[in-house]
Amino acid sequence: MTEMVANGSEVAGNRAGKYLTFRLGEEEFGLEILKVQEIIQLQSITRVPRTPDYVRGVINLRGKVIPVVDLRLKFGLLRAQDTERTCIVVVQIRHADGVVVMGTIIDEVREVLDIPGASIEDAPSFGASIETEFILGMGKIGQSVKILLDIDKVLSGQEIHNIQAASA
Amino acid sequence: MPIPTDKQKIRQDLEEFRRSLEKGEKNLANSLLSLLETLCEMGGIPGAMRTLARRLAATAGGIASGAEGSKKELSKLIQGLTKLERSLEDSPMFGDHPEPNPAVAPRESTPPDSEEMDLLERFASRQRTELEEFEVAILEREKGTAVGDEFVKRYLHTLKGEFGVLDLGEWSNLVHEVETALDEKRLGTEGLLRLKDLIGDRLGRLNSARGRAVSEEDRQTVFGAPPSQFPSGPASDPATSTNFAGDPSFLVDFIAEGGDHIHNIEKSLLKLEINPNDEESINLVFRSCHTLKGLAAFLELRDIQRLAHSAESLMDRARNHAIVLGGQHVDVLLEATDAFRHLVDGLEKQVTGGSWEPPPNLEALIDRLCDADYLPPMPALAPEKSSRKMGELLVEKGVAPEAVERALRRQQEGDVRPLGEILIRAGDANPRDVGQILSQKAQAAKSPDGKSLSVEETIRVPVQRLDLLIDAIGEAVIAQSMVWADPRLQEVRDLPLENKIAQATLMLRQIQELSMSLRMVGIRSTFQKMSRLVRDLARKLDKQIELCMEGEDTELDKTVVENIGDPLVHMVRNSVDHGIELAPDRIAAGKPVQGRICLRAYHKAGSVFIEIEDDGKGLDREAILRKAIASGKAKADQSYSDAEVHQMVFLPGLSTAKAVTDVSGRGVGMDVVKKNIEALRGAVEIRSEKGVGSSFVIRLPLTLAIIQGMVVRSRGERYIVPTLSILTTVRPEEGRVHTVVGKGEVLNLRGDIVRLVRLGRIFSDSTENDGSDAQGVVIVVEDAFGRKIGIVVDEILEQQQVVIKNIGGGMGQVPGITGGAVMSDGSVSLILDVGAVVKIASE
Repeated sequence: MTEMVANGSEVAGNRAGKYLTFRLGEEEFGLEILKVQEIIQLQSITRVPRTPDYVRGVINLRGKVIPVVDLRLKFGLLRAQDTERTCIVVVQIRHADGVVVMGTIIDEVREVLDIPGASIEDAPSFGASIETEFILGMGKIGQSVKILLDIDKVLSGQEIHNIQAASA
Repeated sequence: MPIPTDKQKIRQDLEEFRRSLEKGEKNLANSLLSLLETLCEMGGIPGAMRTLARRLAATAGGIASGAEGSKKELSKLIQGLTKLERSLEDSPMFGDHPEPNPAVAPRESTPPDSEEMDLLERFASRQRTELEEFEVAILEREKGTAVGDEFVKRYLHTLKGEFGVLDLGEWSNLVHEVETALDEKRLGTEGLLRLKDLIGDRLGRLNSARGRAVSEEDRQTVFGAPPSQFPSGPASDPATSTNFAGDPSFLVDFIAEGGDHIHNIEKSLLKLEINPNDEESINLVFRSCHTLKGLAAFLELRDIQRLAHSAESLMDRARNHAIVLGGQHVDVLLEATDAFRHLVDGLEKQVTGGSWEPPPNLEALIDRLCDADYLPPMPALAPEKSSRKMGELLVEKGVAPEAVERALRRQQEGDVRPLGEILIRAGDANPRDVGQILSQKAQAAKSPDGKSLSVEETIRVPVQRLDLLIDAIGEAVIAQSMVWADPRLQEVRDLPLENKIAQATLMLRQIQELSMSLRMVGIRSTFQKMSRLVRDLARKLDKQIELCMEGEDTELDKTVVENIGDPLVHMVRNSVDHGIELAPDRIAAGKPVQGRICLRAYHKAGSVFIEIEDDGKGLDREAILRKAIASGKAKADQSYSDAEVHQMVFLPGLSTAKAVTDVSGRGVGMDVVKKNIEALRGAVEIRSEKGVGSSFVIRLPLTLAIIQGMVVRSRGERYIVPTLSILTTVRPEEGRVHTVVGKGEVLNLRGDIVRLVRLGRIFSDSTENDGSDAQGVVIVVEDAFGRKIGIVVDEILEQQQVVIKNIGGGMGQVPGITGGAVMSDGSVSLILDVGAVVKIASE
């Protein structure tokens, strides 16, 4: 038991840091700030045929064409109408071929929080119904809980293969 | 004198000592010695610094005892002190974290800690530029300038010291040896260049134990073979002297590298034949001979070593202007080249276990090389001679007059080839003689002091930076067109303003075009690789093949040039292997014994064409067709045009079938060739006539970055269809579109039945026909296999040039889409991959 606690705090220590928090539906999420390149307004997105529906398409980011993923759909939430608060968080993720720039559509950006390791807990197991692999941990801020995302896992590796598989 | 312990003080004291030493006062050497010794024994100083201090202490000790008071030693000490001062300044406060065990002795073998790593990295990055300067200085020095000599010496000296500071003792020693060898004139330009290459090669690896070590091999690389071994070295038993008992991997390397050098020598010799004063070529031959000699000496290949040595000596005399290379020199040298080749081939055979005979006339050849400069100079041609007819000169060379007359008659009968060529082809004249006469004529035609062409100046820029610039300019163009397209601006009726904007647009376009040209490189190097390939293969297959190249200066996008190499190799190999017949067959077919393969590159109609033409036996139409029918790729009852049959060579199933390659002699991996070329957005076409020859024509886009595209709309999305793949566009009249069992649609296009594909339908998730696509425009495209298909879109918007962008990492390959393009309104449109669309449609 003591060993587990020690382990937990060690992992939590690595997870401490600044997080960009945002809202997706009714849930609050956090993204490691170091992964965030910039936040841009929603702009016209060109749909790419034969890709899964959570891939909204591609946009022109100052001359670079980058894919944009709708995190709502990615997490299986209902599609929502875009509002003036909807925006694209551009993240740099680690991918097999190196660092890849991608856009993620979220409902609303909240703030940047400095979350100490002590306030971060591992995600509880929800059984097979909910996959928790892409959750870095749960950040406790006052009364609320932020789901801290491991964005590399959310968007890369297996998932990108899925994009390809779905489109093949 | 009290021994200071804090860093600042030590530095000051060192500086003081240095000053006084610079003034020539040596009486302080003893105090300096004790200071340095203290420094060595102090805890917490980096190992590198300790080594340097120790080295300096030894020198100072020598000076103090009066034994080594030479000026050189003194200046060495001063330089070392400067360095020590500098590293004291750079090093973090030593003494603050004393070493756990200060008594621990030399740290030479310990792996570098992070601080030293940092020093190493800084050293390596600085050296990269300094090595370039070093090279310039070496070459400058070769010309005999004092500046160059001084720079080289100073650089070596600094380098030695820096290696010392960095704890790289072995390197420091190596540089020291080089310095000494240089002083004693045992080492010349070649050695210095090799040192430079060696260091450059190792810079990145200095942090590893292997990189830190200087092996005997490295030393050999720099110093070459010990000079005492030749020319009169113990020539061991000549019969076995080419045998080699050592590590065969060295031999394999030598065979490859030696081949390159021989190739270079030959190429430069041919240049020298035309212009004997071409210093660059002289140096190249010299250098290659020298390297060959060194390599051969290392591997104890005495024959090659001796031959290379005599050739090198001859070239050395030419280099020092002791002799002017005449035809007779070049002849002997060319013979030597052949002998080299023979020897190296022999090695290759030995490695593979074959038998081989040494060249019989080697000794005589070496003698002749040594005597070559005493050969009577070629009789200078009197001016009026050069204006004489080719035929006369040839007869003088020993060509039968009847043969010349015969050739002249052929010319009158309409043969457009030059006289020399006719004679060579007919076997009446020796190519070397003809070459000599031609070069004499060329010389005579030139003004005596005709300067060589001025060399274009270049700057090397990292490709990445170039791409950034090109991207940025592309962005600027888009930004500009967004301004231009702004409706508010459209409303303004102001001629001067419009003129200004038009001017800016024009300038920007020019800049964009310029930026595209920055990525263009000549195809020369790729072609040159082929000449080696043809030679090797021809030799292996025992065929005589001449390779001619045209348009090597044709420029292509760098990426295209890099990627066209493999397909070219494949096709050239096919031509040599299967195209050109064996000599007896050629004679039987009434062709010249020597086969001919031509590589051509040229620009035409906005594309680049590369042709590989051979005068071999051509494609065997029947055999290909038979095989295609057998494998179900073609129908027995259908008639095919020649072009269609030739295209079958590229079919995957067909190419790998060995039976076909045996019969038709074509198609090993041709499908891969085709795929590679298509990946470059090019196309390949075959023209072939049985018994006469074949030619493969590759068409490539000028650049990969820009395409001409047709912007179309389909279900609200814009797509770009590459204009290159569009055959025609039609708006079908009522009744021309027929449905097939209610699903498929076809269009009767001037008698051709073309299948229709509705873009909206294959690209949308729903498959239902919502009726909105009943109308539309048909874009008839052709895929790589020549299959025609009609893509139905809602409307054609415009034609424009677009810059192709990758549609983002992490997106992977999207079928049907090759990339995206940023449109003038800043949004992204997708570019269709026509081949893939056809494929999707047929699924």
